[in-house]
Amino acid sequence: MPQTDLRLRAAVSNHVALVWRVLRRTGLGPADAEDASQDVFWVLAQRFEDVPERAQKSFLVSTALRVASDRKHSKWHRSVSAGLDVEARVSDAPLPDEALEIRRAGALLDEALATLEEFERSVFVLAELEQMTRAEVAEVLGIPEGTVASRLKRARESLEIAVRRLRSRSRAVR
Amino acid sequence: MKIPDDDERQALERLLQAAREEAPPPELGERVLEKLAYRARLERIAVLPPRRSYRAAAWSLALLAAGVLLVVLTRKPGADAPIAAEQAASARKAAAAPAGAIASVPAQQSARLANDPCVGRAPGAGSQPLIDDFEDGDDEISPLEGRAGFWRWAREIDAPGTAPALIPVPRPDATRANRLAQHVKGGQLLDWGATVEFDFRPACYDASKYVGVSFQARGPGRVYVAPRERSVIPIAEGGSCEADCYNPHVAKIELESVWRTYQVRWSELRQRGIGKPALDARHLHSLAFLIRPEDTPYDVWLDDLRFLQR
Repeated sequence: MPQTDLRLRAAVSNHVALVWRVLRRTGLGPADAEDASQDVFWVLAQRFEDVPERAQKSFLVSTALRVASDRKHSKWHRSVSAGLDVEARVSDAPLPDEALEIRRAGALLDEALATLEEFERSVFVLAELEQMTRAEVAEVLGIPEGTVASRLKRARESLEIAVRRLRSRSRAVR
Repeated sequence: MKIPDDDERQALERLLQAAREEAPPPELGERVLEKLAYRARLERIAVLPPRRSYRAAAWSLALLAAGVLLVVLTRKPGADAPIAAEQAASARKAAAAPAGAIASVPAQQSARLANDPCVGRAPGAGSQPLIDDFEDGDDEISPLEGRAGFWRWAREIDAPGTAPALIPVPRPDATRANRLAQHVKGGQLLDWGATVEFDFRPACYDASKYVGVSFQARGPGRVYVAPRERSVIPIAEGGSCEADCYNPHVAKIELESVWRTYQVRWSELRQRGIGKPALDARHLHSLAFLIRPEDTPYDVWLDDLRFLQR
């Protein structure tokens, strides 16, 4: 196997979970996120020699954000995907087991994240969920660190309110 | 703004922690790598130099186009016109039109011919009918009689152009001689369904020496066999269709829950609509097994795909 293939394999192995989570938390359903993961790594493969290993994570995250945004805004996504990830939407139906409780929690978070503006959501996903440093987030998004801090603060406040509202709605229907 | 209490904060923190720990689907990395290899192979095929016969055909076409251009540009209205009425009319139009417009029609025609993958393509000999028995374990069809193509599996939730490669898997009833088959399985679909298919590469294969296809399959369920002519595939996707596209000739196959061998003759295939012509097997773009939304969820096995000999 050529050396590049081995390095690409290592990059996939090291970062595929990160890419998938970023795609999921920025609004893609499971099936979409899997396909988009392939697109993200294809972009890396095309520019593999231009991206130093230390910059791979930033490159992949920034590509994932762009791919997710493109997909969410495409006609294809709106017309086809919207109706398919039904199980990912918050359901008020009774839950039979713990696995579904976990799934419901994930869906609740996604629904709360969907209430954020896209620029707040990206900051929140990278800083809070992926626990990247402010400097890393600033590099990925191309914004100053101070802007990262202010957006993160606003995102957290908005998210707390959204989660609180969704949880009280859920309790009300039980 | 209301300040959330500790309980709410803890609930949010639990949600965030669960999201941080969320794992991707099993073996996603392997599937991504398979897809990268598949795309890389397609790229390589796209940049391969044409075979000598194509190159000769391309040169011939270029010379022909140059000749046509020369004749059109040097012809004078009314001079030596054997087909008087049409040529006089066209000469009048030519005289009224700018020089660029005169050259554009034959240039477009020659460009279209030069891009037509059917030009210079020899028909399959009709003596090596195996398309794929999947025993080599890869996603390529068998390279017999100049055939080439890669299996893929697309369903309505795929983005355009990102259908994953389809790699054979062990048959449930595997024997030493017949170990692998294609298998696709999926849930309810709502729009156009799913497809297991490959494109001929180049995107034109002359299967007129054969009379149909045969294959083994196992359901339960239903598939539609669809050898697709170039004329039903849009130009942007490598076909030649300009209107009423995606209307392939199909044959409905009711599968059973045990392996059966099915034969479909070209003459048994039908297009949607009345008075449609029979399949022209000289210009095949691809071969698909279609699964329609009403036949989902689906669980389909395919094996030993061959052309039918006369």
